[in-house]
Amino acid sequence: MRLTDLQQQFQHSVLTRERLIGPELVGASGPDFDARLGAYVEGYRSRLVEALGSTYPALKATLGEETFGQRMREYIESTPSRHYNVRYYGAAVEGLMGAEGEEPMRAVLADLARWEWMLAEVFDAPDDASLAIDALGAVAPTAWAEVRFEFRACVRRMEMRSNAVDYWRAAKELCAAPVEFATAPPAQWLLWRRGTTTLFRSVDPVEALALDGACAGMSFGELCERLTSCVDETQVAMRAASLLRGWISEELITGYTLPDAAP
Amino acid sequence: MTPNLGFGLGLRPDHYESILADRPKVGFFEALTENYLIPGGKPLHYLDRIRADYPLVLHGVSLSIGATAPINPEYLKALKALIARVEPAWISDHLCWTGVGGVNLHDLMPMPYTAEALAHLVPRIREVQDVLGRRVLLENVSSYVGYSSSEMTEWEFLARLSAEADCLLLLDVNNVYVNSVNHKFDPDEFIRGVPPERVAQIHLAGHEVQPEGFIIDTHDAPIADPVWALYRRTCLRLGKVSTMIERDANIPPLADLLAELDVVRRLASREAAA
Repeated sequence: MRLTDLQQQFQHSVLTRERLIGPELVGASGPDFDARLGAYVEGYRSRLVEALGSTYPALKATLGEETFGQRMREYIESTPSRHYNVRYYGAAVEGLMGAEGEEPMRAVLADLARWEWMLAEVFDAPDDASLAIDALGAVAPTAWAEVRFEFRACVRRMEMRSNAVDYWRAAKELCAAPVEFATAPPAQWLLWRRGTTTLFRSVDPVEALALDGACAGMSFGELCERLTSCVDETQVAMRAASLLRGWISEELITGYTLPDAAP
Repeated sequence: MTPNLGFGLGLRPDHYESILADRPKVGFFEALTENYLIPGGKPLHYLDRIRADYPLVLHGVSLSIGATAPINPEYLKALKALIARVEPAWISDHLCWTGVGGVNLHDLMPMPYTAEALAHLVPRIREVQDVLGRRVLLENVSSYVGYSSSEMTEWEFLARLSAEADCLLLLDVNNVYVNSVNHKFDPDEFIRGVPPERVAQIHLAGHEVQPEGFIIDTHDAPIADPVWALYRRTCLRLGKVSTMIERDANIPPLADLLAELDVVRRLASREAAA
C-alpha cells in the first residue's frame, strides 16, 4: 500500500474507529492489537478532551467531569482538529452548549463557553503597546470630531444573558456555585489584558454603546452623535471624553488616526 | 555543529516562577514550540525572561515531516518567527506524521521504514532546513503498532535518513526502550545502529506499562530503571551529548526534577570517565 493510502486509512481508523487499517500493521490478529491501536484511537480523544478542559475549566466544573467528558467527546467526533496548535481547538463548543439541556441551563453553558473562549483569546493576544495618557494632547481642538481610535487586539466585548459569570467565579475561586441556573437581562462585559494580567469588568449600556462604536471605527464626533440617543445633549461631549480617558488609562487603546494622517 | 549544552529540563508553565526565583543550575531548557506559536501574552513573556538567563532549544510536535500532505507554510512561518525571537541553540521535531487532509491528530504517528518513506522524507527535510536556514533534529518516536511493509529496522532507517537528508537526530532513549518492548528488538542493537555523529541531543522520560504488556510513552513518571540502564550504555557508546528530562503530566515540583537531573548528570559523568 502506498504511503498516502496508508496514512489516510490510519487516520480514518483513528477518527471513526472503523477498522480500515489492520492488515497493514504487524500483529493485527494478536491478542493485544485492539489495545495497541486503541492507544492511538483513544489517545486522540483523551488528548483533545484534556485540551478542552484547559480551555474550559469552569464549563468542566459546572457540568461535572463525566458529563463534560461525554459532551466533549461528542464534539470531537463531529469536529476534527484542523489547527497545528491544539490551543485553537474548541472554538465551536459554545454552539454545542447552546443545545445542551433546557433553558436556562443552556443559556448559562453557552455564555460560559463563550466567556472562557474569549478569556483564552485575551490571554495570548498580541502584546501591542497602549496609548500614553497624554498622547491625545497633540490633537488640535478643531480636529477632535474626526479623530478615530485603534483598540488593542486583546479587547473583547460580550453580552451575557445568564448568571454564567457566577459559575465561572465559583470554579475559579473554588467557592460555592449559584443555587440554580438562571437567565438574566442582557449584561455587557469588557475583557482585556494589561501586561500579562487578564482583566474584565461589566459595562453600563451607555459605555457599551460608545465602546462598540469606537471599536467599529467611529470618529469621536460620530460617537457623540451616537450617545445623544441616551445622554443629555449638553452632556454628551463631556461623557464621551470621560469614557475615552478611562479607556486610555485602562490600556484599551493602542493609537488614533486623523484624516490628514492617512497615506 | 550543535553545542553541548550539558543537562537540561523541559520548560513547563508550572515551573516558570520557580525558575525565575531560584535560577537553578540547568544547562538548558527545552521549550515546546507550539506553546509559544501564539501572538503574545504570558507564555511568551516567561519564555523571553527565561531565555535571558538560559540557553534554549525548541522542540515541536506539529511539523508533520512524514505526512503525505504539503508542509504547512503558516507553521513554518510562525516557527521561523519564534526562532528569530528566542535564538534557540537548535530546533527539533519528531520523525512522524500528525495528520493528512487538513486534520491534525495531535499525535506522533509512526512511519513505515521503507524506501518509499525515505524518498518522501528526505526532500521534505531538506526543504524545511532550507526554509529555516539550519539543520533540524528529528526524534525517534514511541510506537504501539508497526507496519508489515517495513523493509528495514528503525535504526537503519534513522541512519539512512539522517545521512541522505543531512539532518541531526534527537535520540529518545526512553522511546528506544519502549519500542524494543513493543516491537521485540534488542535496544542495544538500536543504540549501536544510530550514527553517533548525528546524535545532537538525548531525551529521557517516564513511561507506563500496560496490562497487556506493551508500553505507552506517557512522560508522567520518573525515568524507569530499564531506561536508566540503557542510558548508561548509550553514554558509553555516544559519549557526551546534551541530555534532558521530559515531563508532561503529573508534573512534580521543580526541585524533584532537578534531583532527577542530578542523577542523569552523575551517571553520564561516570560513564564518560569510564
